[in-house]
Amino acid sequence: MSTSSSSSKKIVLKSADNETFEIDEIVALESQAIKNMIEDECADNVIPLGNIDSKTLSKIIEYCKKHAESPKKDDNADIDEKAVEDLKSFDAEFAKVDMPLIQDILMAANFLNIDNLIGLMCRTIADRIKGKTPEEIRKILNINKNDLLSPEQEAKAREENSWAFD
Amino acid sequence: MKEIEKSRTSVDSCPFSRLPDEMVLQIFDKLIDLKILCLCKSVSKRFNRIVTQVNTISFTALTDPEVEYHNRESRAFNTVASLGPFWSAYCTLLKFRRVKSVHIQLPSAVDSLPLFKWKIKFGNRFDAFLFLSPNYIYHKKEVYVNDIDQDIESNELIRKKIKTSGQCLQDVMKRIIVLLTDIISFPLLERVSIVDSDNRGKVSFSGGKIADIRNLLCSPSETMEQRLKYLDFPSKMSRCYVPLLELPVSGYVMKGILKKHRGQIEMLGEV
Repeated sequence: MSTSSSSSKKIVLKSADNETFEIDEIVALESQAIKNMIEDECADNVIPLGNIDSKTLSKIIEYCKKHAESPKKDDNADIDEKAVEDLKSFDAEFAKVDMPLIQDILMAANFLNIDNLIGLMCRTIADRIKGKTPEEIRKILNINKNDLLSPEQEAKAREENSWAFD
Repeated sequence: MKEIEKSRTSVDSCPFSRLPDEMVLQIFDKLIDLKILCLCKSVSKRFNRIVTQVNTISFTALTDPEVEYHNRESRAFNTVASLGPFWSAYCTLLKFRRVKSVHIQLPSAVDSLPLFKWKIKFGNRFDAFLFLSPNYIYHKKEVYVNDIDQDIESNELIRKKIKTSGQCLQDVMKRIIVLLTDIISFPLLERVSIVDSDNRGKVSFSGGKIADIRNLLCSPSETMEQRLKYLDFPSKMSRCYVPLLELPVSGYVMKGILKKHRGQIEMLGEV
């Protein structure tokens, strides 16, 4: 397998629920983890992703396709503003999904090591909890009841940070 | 395969718990606002544990203008209590031991202060202060030349400007001093900036300067008094009246300026 392969080379990804996705290698290279596998020549024709379901994987491929097509920031200084704006609005649209899917995408992006996507998902979650009360945040993220502070701990946290609750 | 499906659905009720700690920290690092971070501490045990490890924190330093006013003549260290809500915010900041960058916003002026711009240079101690308070600001020189409305500056306005300049310097320096005297609480601190919400001025310092301050203030041979003296800043300033001043970078023209300064000031362009 050659490392300097042409863009027409195909990679097949297989999701946890056994769905396969054939994509251009250049799209797959958005993932640092897959890139390393290909460079180390330890990638077979099919790369199994046993912890990513097909719904999440198809979203991630959608993201990688768009970002692979767009001119990279470090390529040259004079990339046109329009491409940057276009990518920004794509990202904004991409993030308009429900919280469980966002968290699944974040987990998968972390596993696949796609920096930009990790950043986008973290920002999205942060934006959704900004300005919310602790109770609202628990609902948004569906926090496990076992992980709640005891009433005493909560009272202490509130007291220490009383100015923030005004 | 069936087993995998099953285990997935059972943890699905709380996908958040599946996110590794470093991902959760990355989310918290995007929050930045101290108030929001504080609220997060009450959300859950995990939130409470991870949120205090964030790198970047920003907060608005609210003050009680009444208290500030009455204490403006006294030295910085006697007026910690006068910092009011800033002090409460600062006490919560102390819980965030891993913070690298602290950004403090001075609140917007609510009352009718005169126009002014300020700049403080802070190396590893107070270096310089510049305060410019014009009667008018023009975007272009031509406008000024054509403007025949020559105003006579009242004593009251001058007094108000002088008072504002003193208050401005104290406001900023007190915050810096409070932050730095406890620098040992922030072992990773790399960057401090204080800006005026109304964009009237800023001060920032970072990197090696902070390391210098840390070495000096944390050295066991120094007494508390010596440390405080090191951070002290002057109350006496040179004061003069400048009829017309052109700002080199922005091209703005100021008219009827009260100028107060201390130390080497070559930073008009940055004002």
